[in-house]
Amino acid sequence: MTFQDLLHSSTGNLWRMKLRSFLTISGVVIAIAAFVSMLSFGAGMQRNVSEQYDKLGLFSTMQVYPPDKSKIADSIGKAAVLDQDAVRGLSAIPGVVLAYPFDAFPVTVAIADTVLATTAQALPEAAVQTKLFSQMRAGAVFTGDSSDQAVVSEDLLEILRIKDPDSLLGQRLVVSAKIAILDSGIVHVFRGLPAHLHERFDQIRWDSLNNGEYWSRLGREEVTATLSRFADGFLNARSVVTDTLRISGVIEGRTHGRATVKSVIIAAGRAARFRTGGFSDDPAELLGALRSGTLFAPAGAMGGKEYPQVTLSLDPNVAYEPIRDSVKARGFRTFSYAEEFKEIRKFFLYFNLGLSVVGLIALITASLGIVNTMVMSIIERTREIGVLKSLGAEDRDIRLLFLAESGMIGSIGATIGILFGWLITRVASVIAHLIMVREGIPKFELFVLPPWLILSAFLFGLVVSLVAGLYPAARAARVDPVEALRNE
Amino acid sequence: MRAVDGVSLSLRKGEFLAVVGASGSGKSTLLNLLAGLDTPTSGQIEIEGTALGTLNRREVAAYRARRVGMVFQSFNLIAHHTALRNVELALYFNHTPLRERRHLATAILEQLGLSDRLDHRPGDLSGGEQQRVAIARALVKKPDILFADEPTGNLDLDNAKQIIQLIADLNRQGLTVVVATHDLVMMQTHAHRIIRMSYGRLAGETILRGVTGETS
Repeated sequence: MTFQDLLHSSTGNLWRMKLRSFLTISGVVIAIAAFVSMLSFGAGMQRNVSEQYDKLGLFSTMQVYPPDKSKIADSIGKAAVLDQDAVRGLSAIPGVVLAYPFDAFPVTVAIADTVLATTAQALPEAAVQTKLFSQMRAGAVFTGDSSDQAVVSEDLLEILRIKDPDSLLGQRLVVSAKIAILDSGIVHVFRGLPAHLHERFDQIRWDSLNNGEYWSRLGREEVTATLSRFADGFLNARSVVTDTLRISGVIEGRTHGRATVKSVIIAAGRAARFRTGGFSDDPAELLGALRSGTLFAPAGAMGGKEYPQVTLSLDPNVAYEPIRDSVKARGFRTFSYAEEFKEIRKFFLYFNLGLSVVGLIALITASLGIVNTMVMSIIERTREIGVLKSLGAEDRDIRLLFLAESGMIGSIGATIGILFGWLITRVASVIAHLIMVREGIPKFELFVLPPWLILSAFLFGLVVSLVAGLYPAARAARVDPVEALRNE
Repeated sequence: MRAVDGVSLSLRKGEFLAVVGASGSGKSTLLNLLAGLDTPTSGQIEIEGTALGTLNRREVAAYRARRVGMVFQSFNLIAHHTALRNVELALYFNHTPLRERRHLATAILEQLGLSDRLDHRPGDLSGGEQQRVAIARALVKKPDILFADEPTGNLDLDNAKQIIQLIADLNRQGLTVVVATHDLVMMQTHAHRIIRMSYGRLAGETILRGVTGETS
């Protein structure tokens, strides 16, 4: 018996019992349609995440963090400091293309008539050229580390209630930051010095000048007064550094996660002026600089600044694991998006498995219909089986005949089910897009129907149907031809 | 109770053997055993020196597919197939190439006078025509032996005579024929030998005419 014979025979038999075949196939169609639409949703979600990662180049991005403070307290050795030297060290690791710190500071920005307090971020040109900063809503990123251009995030647009990001391009952005510098303290010490000296001169008790104790008290009072004036000047009479920039682009806002984009991005070289000769007003940063002995480092070197995070751009052709190990060996904590994606893929695997189980339950129910149909068919065609055996059909031929029929039910059901499932996803997608538009969410595709899903759905339907046909086929093969032919 | 008990007989190639007896005498069982449809609980059947009992199920199926043609009282045509397809079915299991099947089936049906009935379903044919289709199905694979179990049982006298004549003609062309029937008169005209069965046993044997050939 040839494959063509089996095909011809099974289609002929199914066609003969149209209603029964239609109902049985319908069960498979519904099950496969459910399977396809559910897994299509899972595949759509996975693709969206994967595309987002790829779009931002996260597969080749690693974040580095300072050591865990609680662990530092327990350890004996000197804790690693995530400062400029560390950034230089990290960028020298083989496979690291670029290392740049997360360097944010509070600023006041003025655009047109609006003034608002926000946070700026200093980035080198090479950093803004990476995929992580490629999601522009309008314009482009700045070029050059001392560029007088700045990029603003779309979060700023929301604050300014500007809808068209293009309208901001080329606009003047005045950025100002208060910095506490040594000069302001020293100036305050010497400010009013003549009056102070005059007052002090009047207070001198000339008859006690021979007393050493008096001199000692006088010295203590003077030092205390001088330090008090210095502190007063340092903390209250801060300098305001202002810079006027032009907005070159508007970038997609990211306020959450490990790849945050602040409201204003300024070229690192240009942003240095907000720090030159000054100190951070962040007490933790000040203490860090003091501890590392870089409080009075040369201007512009920013050697004393400890960063909360350093981003590494990796060579996509190099495995991330050795780089991660190398960073960890330097005492830092790491976060790899590639590693995170592995976990996400695991999640989607379990998610899809869960959905498959639901589809499988539906298909098992449909397969009971197949078993019923096939058993009914055997009962009705017992004599035909006897005739075929008398003509020389082997048990195997009879088994194949019935398996071909159940396989045909599965194939037709799976094919129509895939089309039906696809139709369901299209309808659901249109509805989802309408909701997204209404809610102001950027449109994205919830469902995808990759070739592997089409193939798996078809094989799933076919295999389950064949399994369902095993018992009836075996029963048909066992039919005794003499008994079968005796049944009139 | 045994359907067939203690029967011993040999068949020569080209012989026309008639097995007669009352209903339930074991004629059909004997034919089923000889055709390899049934298996004896004891004893053996030899076909040209090969015992059927020593063959496995596949080999017995191959024996039925290639060497045996069977005709039944109730025709046993498949109702939803055309006459042509019913005949073609016999070629499904003996490895006849697909393109030859239609040609061979058409030729044998034409030979049996059914050229205008090729696309008719059994329900649209008369009893005689149905039996001729069944004979065509048995003959299309060019078997060594034709077993006919009450081939005229469901036919009127004219049709019955025609079918027996057809079988006799095939025998004259060299086909070995075993016919189980209770119509002794008709067999006396054509058969070489008649054996009579009663309660599963061989009750008598009549040699009517000689046959030249070897034992099959």
